[in-house]
Amino acid sequence: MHTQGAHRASGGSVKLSVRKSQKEATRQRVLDAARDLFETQGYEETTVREIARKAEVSVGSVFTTFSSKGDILSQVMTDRLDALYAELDRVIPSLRGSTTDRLRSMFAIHFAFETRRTRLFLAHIAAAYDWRLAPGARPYGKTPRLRMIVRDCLTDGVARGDVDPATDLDVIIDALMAIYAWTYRLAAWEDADAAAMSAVFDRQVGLIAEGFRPRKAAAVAS
Amino acid sequence: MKHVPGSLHGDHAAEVRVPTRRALAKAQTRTKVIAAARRLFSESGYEGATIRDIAAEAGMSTGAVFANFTDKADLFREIMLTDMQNLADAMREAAVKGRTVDDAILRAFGAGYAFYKSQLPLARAAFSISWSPDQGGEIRSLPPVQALYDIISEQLALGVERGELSQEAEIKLRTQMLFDAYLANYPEAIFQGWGLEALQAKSRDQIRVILAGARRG
Repeated sequence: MHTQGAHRASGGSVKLSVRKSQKEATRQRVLDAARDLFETQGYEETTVREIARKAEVSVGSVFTTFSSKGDILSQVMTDRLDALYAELDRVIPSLRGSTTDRLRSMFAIHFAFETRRTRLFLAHIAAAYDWRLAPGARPYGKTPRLRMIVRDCLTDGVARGDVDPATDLDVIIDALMAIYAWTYRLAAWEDADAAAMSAVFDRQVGLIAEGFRPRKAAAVAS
Repeated sequence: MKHVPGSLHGDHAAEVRVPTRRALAKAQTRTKVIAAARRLFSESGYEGATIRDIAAEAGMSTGAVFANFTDKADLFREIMLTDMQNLADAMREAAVKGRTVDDAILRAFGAGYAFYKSQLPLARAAFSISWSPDQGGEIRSLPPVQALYDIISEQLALGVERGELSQEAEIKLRTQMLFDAYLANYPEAIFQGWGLEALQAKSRDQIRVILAGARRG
């Protein structure tokens, strides 16, 4: 039972909603505590007991909300992504320039966001390969919203005329996602910051863009 | 000692350099430990297998394991090193049969997927470790890992030589991108059970897209 357990309301529906909001408060405290511990001392090094202690809840109540430490991590990352996409929704309408530059800006926002808590993000990637995860629990790489944003950007590009209409967008998106994901190893291995990762990725987007330029425009340019 | 063919050669070999009995025993222990570790890492992943489990599986004491390997990471690195070496050989052999750049790289990747198809849990453990800040950078600098990059960049260079790719093909960066795309398909194999054909079909598209810009020159 967590610390707010004493606040028992009497009436049926009130009681239910109080319990529900207590549960929500517990959940939020656990997620906040876990996010900070994962970032400061690392995911592998953090135990569920430590998370419970920091969140000031019992280990039992952590497990009534989450099935495992991996589940907590997955939820922490999902919540973070909500914030990221809220930011992107604000920024995207004001992006200008070529499709290539817009793509660069969108990914730069991702790099900047994830490097605010690099250790947490790397733990998230490593945990995606954790053998203990249940099948289907893979959190990393499931970024349907990013795929959608990239697709919208490329589709707009076709309309604006700087993406060849014959381009197989899915293949381009796959390649961009693969390269984006692995660019984070620069953070893991070389302590690269967001600017360094963006710089490498910008050049890579440029190389892929050479392949989806409309053919006529390419002929005119050369 | 039926496992030591050298001992059959008699006096002549003895003068050259016959490993001492102790060195042989040590080598034999290493081989046994590595085989046991490989089995357990494949079954339970890297985090799931302890040195104690590995010792028990090999039928020896934990002390005997530690006499040969400093820690679990050391043991795992040894297995990876052997695998990467074999993987690089398989990929190179496949690549040289390619008729075009695309074909050669696709063959190399296909050989890679085929190599790990039978030991995906090991690949999964290797990925997990490669993202760790302490061990990832070290793994990257291993010679066999460099060899994997070289196989791709050599094929791109050949493509430029043959006139398939433009002189400004940005070989280094494109090599990195191709390798990223190759690695990024492993989760499909590991988590979604993709077969070799599906992996190769996806690779083919990725190679085409990554090289497209270099072809227009």
